Amino acid sequence: MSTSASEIPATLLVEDDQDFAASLTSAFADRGYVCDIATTWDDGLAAFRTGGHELVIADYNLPGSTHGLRLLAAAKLLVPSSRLVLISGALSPEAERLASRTKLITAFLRKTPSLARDLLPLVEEAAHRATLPTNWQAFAAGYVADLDKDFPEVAQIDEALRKDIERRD
Amino acid sequence: MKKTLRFKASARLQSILSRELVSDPNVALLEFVKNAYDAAATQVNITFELHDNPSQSVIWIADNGEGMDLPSFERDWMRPGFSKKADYVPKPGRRVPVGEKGLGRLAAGRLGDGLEVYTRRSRREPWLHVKFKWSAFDDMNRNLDEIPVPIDDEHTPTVTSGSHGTIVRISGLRLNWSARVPGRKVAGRSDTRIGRLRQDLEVLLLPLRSADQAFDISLEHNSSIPDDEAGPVVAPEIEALGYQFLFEVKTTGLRDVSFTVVRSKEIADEAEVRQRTKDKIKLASILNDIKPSSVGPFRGSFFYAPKSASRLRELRAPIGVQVYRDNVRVDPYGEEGDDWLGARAKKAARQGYAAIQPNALYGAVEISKKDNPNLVAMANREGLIENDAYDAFITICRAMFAEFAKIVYVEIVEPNWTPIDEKRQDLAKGQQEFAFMLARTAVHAVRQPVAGAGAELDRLQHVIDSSAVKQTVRSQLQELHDRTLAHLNRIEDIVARMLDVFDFEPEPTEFALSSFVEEVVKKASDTSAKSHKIDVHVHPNTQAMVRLPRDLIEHALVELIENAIHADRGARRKGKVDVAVSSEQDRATITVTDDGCGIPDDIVKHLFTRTQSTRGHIGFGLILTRQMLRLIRGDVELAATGDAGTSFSIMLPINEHQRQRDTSYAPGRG
Repeated sequence: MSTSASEIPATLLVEDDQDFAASLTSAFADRGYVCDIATTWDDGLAAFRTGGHELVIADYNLPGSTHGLRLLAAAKLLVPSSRLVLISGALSPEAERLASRTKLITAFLRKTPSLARDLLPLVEEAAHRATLPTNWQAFAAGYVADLDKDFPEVAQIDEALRKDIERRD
Repeated sequence: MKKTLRFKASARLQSILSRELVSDPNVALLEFVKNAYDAAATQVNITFELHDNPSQSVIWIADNGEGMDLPSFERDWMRPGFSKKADYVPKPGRRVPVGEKGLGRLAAGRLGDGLEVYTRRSRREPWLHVKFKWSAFDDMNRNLDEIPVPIDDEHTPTVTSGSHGTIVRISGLRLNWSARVPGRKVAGRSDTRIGRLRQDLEVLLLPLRSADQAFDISLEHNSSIPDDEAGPVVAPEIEALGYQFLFEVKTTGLRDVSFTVVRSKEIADEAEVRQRTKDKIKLASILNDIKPSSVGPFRGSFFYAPKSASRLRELRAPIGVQVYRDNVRVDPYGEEGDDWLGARAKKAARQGYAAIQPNALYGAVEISKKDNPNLVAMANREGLIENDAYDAFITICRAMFAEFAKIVYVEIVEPNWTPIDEKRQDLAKGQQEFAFMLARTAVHAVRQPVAGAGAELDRLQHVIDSSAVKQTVRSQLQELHDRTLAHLNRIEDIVARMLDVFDFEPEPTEFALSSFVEEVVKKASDTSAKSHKIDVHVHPNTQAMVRLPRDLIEHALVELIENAIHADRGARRKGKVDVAVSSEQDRATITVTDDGCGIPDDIVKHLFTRTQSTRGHIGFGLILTRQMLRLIRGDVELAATGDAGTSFSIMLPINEHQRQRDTSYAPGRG
């Protein structure tokens, strides 16, 4: 029996609140989209290296690691087509605006009751992308060139986001 | 019948006087030391031979004073109440005797049942040996003179004091002197009986005395308590660590009391020294109706060592202001528990504002029999007898203490003390910040389960949408889903509002009010107003600058604008909101007016007190808005409401320095 596109975990959720993660991934699973779950940035990176997910949904304020956006940038280098979505309940509007500025992030979404519904199109698209052949070299070359320009800004934004979290804690 | 009666003293009187006259055993023992002092002794040795059973312990008190022969012993010792010292005429340079009541020796009964006295005037004489047993005097049916007191010259004391003097042996002790004092520890006092005795001996005499009045005391014992020192009793050195306040009621005229303030180098460097160093105060202003002549001249010195309590403990400085009469201490002034100057009472009454902390106050007030004949100690050694002289003496001393406290307060306390109110404010601020942080953390945490519940509702929607569900069940499930989602959205709305508050920048910034309102209105117009087909217009009529927390004002204004946008307009699909900005004197006003149907009376009544809203759900925006504005001395009020619409006004303070000349804009703008 062949594996359908929707059965390959094209989405990785990096979230330490297990109850919330279970609800969110169940909402995707009901529609046939399987997600991997990691609870820390480090586990997330390890899972990404293994799975090469097309969509990474990550909570910015996770314990155990300080890599933050730079880790997402590293993931992007591995799978340039991967889409990165930051979700958060803990960032200020100003920090949210800042995070949205970087090309690294596809979308920044707040944790609201409609989050699952808002993420579903991205999950569907990621599952579809996972089945498509891609000219990785061309894509990677082009994207990495963009990313090199983006890195200094990523580091600055990362620092600002971290300070925002610390201030609010 | 006509006859003459005479008192006959019951033997029991002796017992009562000896055991009950003096309450403190230390005071009883000190009477013998004072007797030695009065007998012109230069040395007195106190020795405790302690046993586990107190009744077998013995106290020896040996002095090298004048001693007594049989006639003087019979005259001075065997007549309670008689004292040759009562009529003593002071001679210059000679020690003034302390005892005058002829009762001190009776205090021996307080210490033990047995008393033996050895006394002689010179080496050439044998020791007179007199033996008392106080329990023999317990018989009230016998008279005092019916109880025999044996005397001989055949015994020699086992301790010596020199060629002459008096040696007292007290046996059958009533107290266990080798024990610790029961009860709670008293600050500054030893917790052993012998330790306390040593402390009392150290301050028995004024520290500064001339060489010809030398009087050395030693205290020996075989107590097993390691804390208990043995050997010479040395008066602690009175080191002036902080303030000295020296006052004197002079001999001539007795019209005023002069005082001098001396500050240590540390005090002079640290304190805001702006009080007088020398001054006089009229006695009449202190004493009111009390005659100054009732008291006689005397002097005193108060020492106050702020922040030096530990140094005072090292020096074993006697805390408290003692009273000395002819160089010998008058009990109980200055003892722990005695507050004769009112220092502790002042501290208790003012709850932290007291200038002088009692645990760093020490000193002495000196009176004399010659100058203050009416200041007489009570027989029970519990202070001076209360009379006019005593009233004047106490009043003057307390007035001097109050004067001293005033100086210390102005120079030391006032510049450095954090008032209780400020401490309370700091505590309240800390509590507020903690509550704020807790609330912010909780609000963030709420978002997780709210988003999770939203995801579960999304799953429910997926089930509802599937063809496997029957239509009747589908509509019920859909209703369940929709209502639950509505509740979740309200929670999210509340969370978002609260987070807006937490994200406020609390520091005020200066900005032009009209420009600011225009920015806020533009944002609202581009989003909420547009989607509700509401036109929002700004009418800026002031160039006022304000210095306020910008985020807070924006939140308040957005609250009113949103309310105006969502106002009930009945069937009308379009509407408008006007935002006017004006200022006058020290206040700026932003008025937001809608063209809705007005607010029902029952809601108006509780507008700023209940969580209610005309938007169909519970809202607390106006309550929060008012509380926030009042924090910055602003406010919000309902200006008007009716069929033609509703107006709310935000009032903001304009700082004196930011007030600009009010200039109207050209008509047509906005």
